[in-house]
Amino acid sequence: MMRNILGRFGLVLVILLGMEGVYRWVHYAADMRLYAPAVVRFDSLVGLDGDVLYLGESSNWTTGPEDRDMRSISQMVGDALFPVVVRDFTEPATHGGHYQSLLERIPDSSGIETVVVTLNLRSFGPDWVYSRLEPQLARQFLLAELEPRLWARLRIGFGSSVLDSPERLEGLRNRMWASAVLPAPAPYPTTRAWDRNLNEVGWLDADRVRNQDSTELACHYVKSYGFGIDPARHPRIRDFDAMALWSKARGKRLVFLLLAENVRQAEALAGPEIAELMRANADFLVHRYRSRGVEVVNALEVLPPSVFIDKTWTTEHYTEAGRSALARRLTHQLQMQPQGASLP
Amino acid sequence: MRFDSIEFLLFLPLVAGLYALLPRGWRWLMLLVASYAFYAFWRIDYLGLLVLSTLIDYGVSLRLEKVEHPLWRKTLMGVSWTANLGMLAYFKYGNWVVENLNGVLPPENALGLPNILLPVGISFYTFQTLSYTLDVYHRRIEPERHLGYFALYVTYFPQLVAGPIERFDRLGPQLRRSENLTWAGVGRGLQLVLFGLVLKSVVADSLAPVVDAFYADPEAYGSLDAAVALLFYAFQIYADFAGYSLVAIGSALIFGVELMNNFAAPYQAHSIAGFWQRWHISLSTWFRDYVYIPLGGNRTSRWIWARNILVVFGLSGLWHGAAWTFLVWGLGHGLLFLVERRVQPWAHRVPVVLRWLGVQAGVVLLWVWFRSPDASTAQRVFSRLLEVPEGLRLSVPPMAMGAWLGLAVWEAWAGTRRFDGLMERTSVGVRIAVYAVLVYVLIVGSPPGGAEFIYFRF
Repeated sequence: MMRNILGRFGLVLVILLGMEGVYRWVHYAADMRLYAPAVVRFDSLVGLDGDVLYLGESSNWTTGPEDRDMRSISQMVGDALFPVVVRDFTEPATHGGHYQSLLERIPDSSGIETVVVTLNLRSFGPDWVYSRLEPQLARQFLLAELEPRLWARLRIGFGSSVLDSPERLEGLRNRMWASAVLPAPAPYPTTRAWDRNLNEVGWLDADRVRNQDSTELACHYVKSYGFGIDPARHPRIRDFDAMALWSKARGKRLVFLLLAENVRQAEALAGPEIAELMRANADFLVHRYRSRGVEVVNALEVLPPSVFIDKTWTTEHYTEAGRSALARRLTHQLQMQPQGASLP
Repeated sequence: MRFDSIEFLLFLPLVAGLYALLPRGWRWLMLLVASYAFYAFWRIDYLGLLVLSTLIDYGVSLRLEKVEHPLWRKTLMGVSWTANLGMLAYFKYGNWVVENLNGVLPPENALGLPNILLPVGISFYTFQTLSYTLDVYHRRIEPERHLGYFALYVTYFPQLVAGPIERFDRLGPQLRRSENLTWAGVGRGLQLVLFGLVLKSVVADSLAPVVDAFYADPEAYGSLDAAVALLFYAFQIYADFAGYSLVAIGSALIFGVELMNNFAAPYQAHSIAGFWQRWHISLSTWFRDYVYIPLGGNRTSRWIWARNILVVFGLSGLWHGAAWTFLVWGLGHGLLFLVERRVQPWAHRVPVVLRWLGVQAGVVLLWVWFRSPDASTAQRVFSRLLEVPEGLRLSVPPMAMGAWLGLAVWEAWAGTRRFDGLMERTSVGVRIAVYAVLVYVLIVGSPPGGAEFIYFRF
């Protein structure tokens, strides 16, 4: 009986191993191109010559309607640092979790010595941590990283796994808003309470009339930036910490670019507490990573409200003036000589 | 929990393992807990509805056994019907009724739309419990006195959320027997689970993006695209639901429980009556036994009979969803059925191939009403069909074309024979090769983020 069972399991194992071999040999590369195009693009990017790698989300390349210079932040930096070659990997809605996975894919043979990673304050909020776009991006990394490959393919094909449920992510986000206790100077214990109160009171214009658009935008600010960062449990902290460790282990120069936020508008619409909270969280990140040997360019409040493209939503999309201001700061940082390292 | 999920692939062997280890007397409890967990994986708060429905029908059926007075018996049935159909009406048709009322009410009196989320499987388990109380009422079966076994009948996880809708006299005794797992049962069950998953995750999910692209903007396409989308949808919904049913039947078979077949090569039917004997059989027979026959069936005048047919098909349409499009779909089938009966005396002179073509064309065209979110979309799809054919604008990936052709060839070859039956007649080597190929196809051929089962919406 036992021999019979073992024989069956052995046969299943042999068949599975054979399938894994066939999949790796025949279908894996095609599946990567189809279902993990960003990772494939990254792999080919780091295979090219380059000195600096810029990892960012849509803030890098989004342009305003009036822009004449359509260059992205990374292109501006590359032009300013010529002949240093700056390669960029820009993918909408990416965050530290993805960047950390990407850094691990840089081969030892790569010529890249400096990596710039955008440190997006908003990506630390529940709205982004539990974004509905997350499953689509996470699938790409799953297929690229998980072994055996056939298991990874099964995971991405069977779409209702926990990872792949946008409803579940939405539920987690709502729970965070409703239950995570906000630190001082937040005026309410939770994001949900703050948002509700703000919505009930409404944003009143000069005639003391409720302005619905401004009220909604104020609420967006609270939902996007009204959070505390628990360093022991926050997934993005884990990711950026891992990047700092990677930089030390691999001897690469790592620069975090803390992206500019429209703090002034946030303060005007949602009150001084939200601006204080944004500053407190940004300061926390800057200190944490500087103390871990990472260079941090703090651009949180360097841009005026006029350079933010989206007027009804909270984003880090900048006009030409905004992009070039950030590029100048980043260029300046990259031109500074870090301890024992130099740009070619 | 969805069948096409990693969770289910872990859940099923875990439950089967526990079932095998437990003494026979405890198995029902484990299966009941597993069934509630299966449902709670979707939404834990709607579990209360399931429990409420179970308790009401359990209580009503026990009282029905004791009460003799017709008025009291009818009152008890009224309680069951009000509770079950009331829940179904509120959750499934609440939004639709308010929307339609708002269409006729002056704007200032418009009612606020209740934000109601349809509980998964409510149409299925409501019909299952209704059949139970009706059978007890008509004294066709004895009521189940063990609350646990009755609760398991209502919530049995393989068929809880999308059928087959089982009668108590068939499922109840099997659940009570709590058979031991056998190699043969587990093997046959796994075969059906595997084949069902291939149908759903590979065939249906590969066809879905092509169909969705067409229905999202019919105006952007021509008549050839419309024809492709219609044919693809006919196979998508079949692969989706038949695939689900096979996984359900296979999962139950692992525990030694035979569920009824829900499909029998419906696209080989050359009559509308034949189609409905082969499509969603558990629902068709439910309507036959609990609506059509009580209305008088065919033992009435021609006009009453025609009315009965239209009532049954209309209700069947509305059972699928709260929308006029479903009603049109159901009534369309009813009208085709009536026409078919009218021409029956001379229809046999028409070659079978032509009859088959006519019937299947009608079925495929009526799917337009089923798939369209509203009447306007359906009209736009039909208007596309009438255009002069041009080139194909829809992007049809080879995988989708392969899935469609594969299912067509399989249907033509296998007919009404089930996968496990076909495998029984082959040698061990062939069987192993077929399983290995199917497992590989399932893993490599499932598009990421597969669509939800279509019948989960009902």
